[in-house]
This record gives sequence, C-alpha cells and structure tokens, in this order.
Amino acid sequence: MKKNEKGFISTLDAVFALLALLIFSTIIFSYLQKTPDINDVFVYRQAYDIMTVLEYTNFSNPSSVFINTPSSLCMRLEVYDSSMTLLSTYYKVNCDVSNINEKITWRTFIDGQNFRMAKLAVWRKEG
Amino acid sequence: MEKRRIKAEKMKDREKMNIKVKKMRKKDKKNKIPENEKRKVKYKKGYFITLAAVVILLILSIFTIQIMTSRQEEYSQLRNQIFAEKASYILDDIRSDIKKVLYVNQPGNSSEITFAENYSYNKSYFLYSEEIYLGMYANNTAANISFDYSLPLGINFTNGMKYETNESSVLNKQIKIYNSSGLNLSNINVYNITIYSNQTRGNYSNSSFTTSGTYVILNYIDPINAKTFTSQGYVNPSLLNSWIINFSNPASTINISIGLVEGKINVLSIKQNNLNAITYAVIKVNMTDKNDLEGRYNILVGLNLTNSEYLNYLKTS
Repeated sequence: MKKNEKGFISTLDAVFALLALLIFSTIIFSYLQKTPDINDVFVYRQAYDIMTVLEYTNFSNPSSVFINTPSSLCMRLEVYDSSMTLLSTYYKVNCDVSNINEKITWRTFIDGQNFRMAKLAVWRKEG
Repeated sequence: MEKRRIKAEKMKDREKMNIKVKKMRKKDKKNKIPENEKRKVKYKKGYFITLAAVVILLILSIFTIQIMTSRQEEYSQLRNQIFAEKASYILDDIRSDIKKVLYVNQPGNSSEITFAENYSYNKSYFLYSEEIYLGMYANNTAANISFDYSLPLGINFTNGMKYETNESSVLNKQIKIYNSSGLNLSNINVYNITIYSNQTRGNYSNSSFTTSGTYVILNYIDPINAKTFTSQGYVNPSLLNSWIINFSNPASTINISIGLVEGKINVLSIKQNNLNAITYAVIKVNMTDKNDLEGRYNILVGLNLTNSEYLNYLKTS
C-alpha cells in the first residue's frame, strides 16, 4: 500500500471516530437535559405549604407569612375575583417582582361572603 | 594439464560460491519471516487497542445509562409524590372552603366532635359557587376536578351517625343529628348546644329533665345579654324532649328537640320556624364509642392528575 493511501485511511478513521464521539456525546447530553430539575419539585412543595398557611390565616396578612419563609425563596401573591380581575398583589421584601423560573400554584378561598382565587408565584432567589 | 586442473579448481570454487550464495539467500529468506511476524504482532496490537477502546466506551455507556436510569427513577418517584401532594393540596383547599359553612372537628381522635354551622351562607349558592371556582382552578392548573354535591348538605360518619343541614326553606332551616343506618344513636351521651341569635327572644319553654339518659347543655346567646340563658340536665333519649324559644316580630320560634324525633331515638333537631334568627350554631357531641371515627361530607370529589386519580366523598379532616 502506498504511503498516501495509508494517510487517507488514517484521516478517514479519525473522522469516523470523531463523528462517533460527537454522536455519543450529543445523545448523553440531550438525555441529561431532558431530566427536569429536581429543585422544581421542592419549590412546588414550598408553594403548597405557603398557600395552605395563607388560607388558614384567611389571607389576612400575606406579608407576615412571606417574612417567615426561607430567605432563599421569593414570591408574589395575586388575588382575583370571579371575573379574574386582579384585586391585589403582595410581594416578598428584598425580592424581584417576577422571575422567568417562577412556579405557580392556585387556591380558592372565601373572603367574607365572596369567593376569591389566589395565585402564588414562587422562585429561588438568584445570586 | 595444468590448465585443466586450474579450470577444474575454479569450477569447484564457483560451485562453492554458488552454494554459499544459495545458503545466504536461504538465510536471507529465513531472515524475512520474522519481519512479517513482527507486522502481524503489530496488527494484533491494533486490534487489541481498538477492542479495549470499544470495551471502555461500552462500560462508560453502561455506567451513564445506569446513572441516568437511577436519576430518572428518583425524579419520577418525586414527581409521583408531588402529584399525590397536589391531590392532597386540592382536597385540603376544597375542605377549607366547605368548613366555612359547615365546620367539623374531632381533635386527636377525642370522644368529642364539634360541629359549627354558619347560617349566614346560603349553602346551595355556596356549593354552586365552589363548583364554578373549582372549574376556574382546574382551567388554571390543567387539573381535572369534578365536584358533585347533593342537598341537604350532610356529614356521614363511619358509626352511622349523620349530621344534616336542610335549608330548602330559608326561614325554616333545620339541623339534625341522627343514626342513618339504624334506629338509635345510642353512642351519644352528651349534646352541648350553643345557639347565637340575631333576634331578641320572647319567652321560652324548657324540657323536663330526668335523673339519667342523655345529658343536654343548651346555651342560647341573645343580642341582649339579659335574654341569654343556659338550660341543662338529663333527658330520656326515647321520648321527645323540646325547648321552644318564641319571637314576637314576626311570630316565630326556634324548636330544639332531643330524643324521639321522626321515629328515631336520641336524635337532635334544631329548627327555626318562619324566621332567620340563628346566625351561628355550635354543637358538641360526646361519644361513648369513638373507634377511629371518620366523617365524610356528602360531596363527591374526583381528581384526575398525571399519575394520580381520586374519587371519593370529601373527608372532614
């Protein structure tokens, strides 16, 4: 076999090896990306607990409930009436007003004789 | 002759040389075989390296798959858990709303159960609104929720006791506690009733008391303190025992009956006639038999979340 032919085959072999490696890596990383963040589950769990406490305190003072939540969590509470008109919004101090990764939970509650819908957005503080 | 001899010697030398050359060539050929073998060994080394690389890659792949599978399993378990928690959260949300109109509590499996009924809510309208709001809730959370209720609103207990609140006529609302699966509610030994009225009463009549039977404590709270009264004592649970509180404007009454009511024994009935006088009623019943008593509202709730399905009557706690 000539030296030139040998070089060509070596290059082809290297190219195939690189391609195989790329395909292998892509499959693994795409699979890794498909697995959602477990932290989301814990954020939802915290949100359920906070909403339950808010209902048990009749949504009378949401800010005082927010203060007693972990400092790593940020949240925003919105209260709607039957026509989904926003009645009031509450924010946790030292937090942004919203976050792209916020997790939403809803709850119905009774305010006097009126039904209301509460929407709680919770997210982890960044930085 | 000499020349011939020299020629013959030269021929011999040549032959010798030829033989040597042949031997040398043979030796050369022998020397060439080890070179080929060396090449073969080199090829074998290449195969071994390739095979080792493939094996390492395979092992790495298996490890990766194993790690990913265990992570996926872990995550799916957490996901299932969070869906179960979501179902429990939704049920708690519905229960918290219903408890605004009909509260029930049995602290720590105690022998005493407390019912508190808020008369300011129209139960039919309240339950209808709850259904509408749950529809909105379901739309917002992509959950599938069904809410089927029947009137009168009631609570069924595992021992057969039933609490029922009938307000088919607003001015003639009635609360009843009775045995839905038998004749006698024998396991209740104390009824402690507190009625909050928004009207000032006229005169009232007490039941006659005995020395044993069901113990009754009736607290009537009037807007005028002086008109507030308490009546207590034992009554015979097999006979009709009544307290009647009269109101003058309009002419109306609140009737509290304990004992034989509508053919059943040891029943409690609180009924207002022709007036919406009661704002709040608190009834505490003391049971001789509590045996992990479980109560359920006659509201059938269905939940269909990912990996979590539920269809049952709403538990009181």
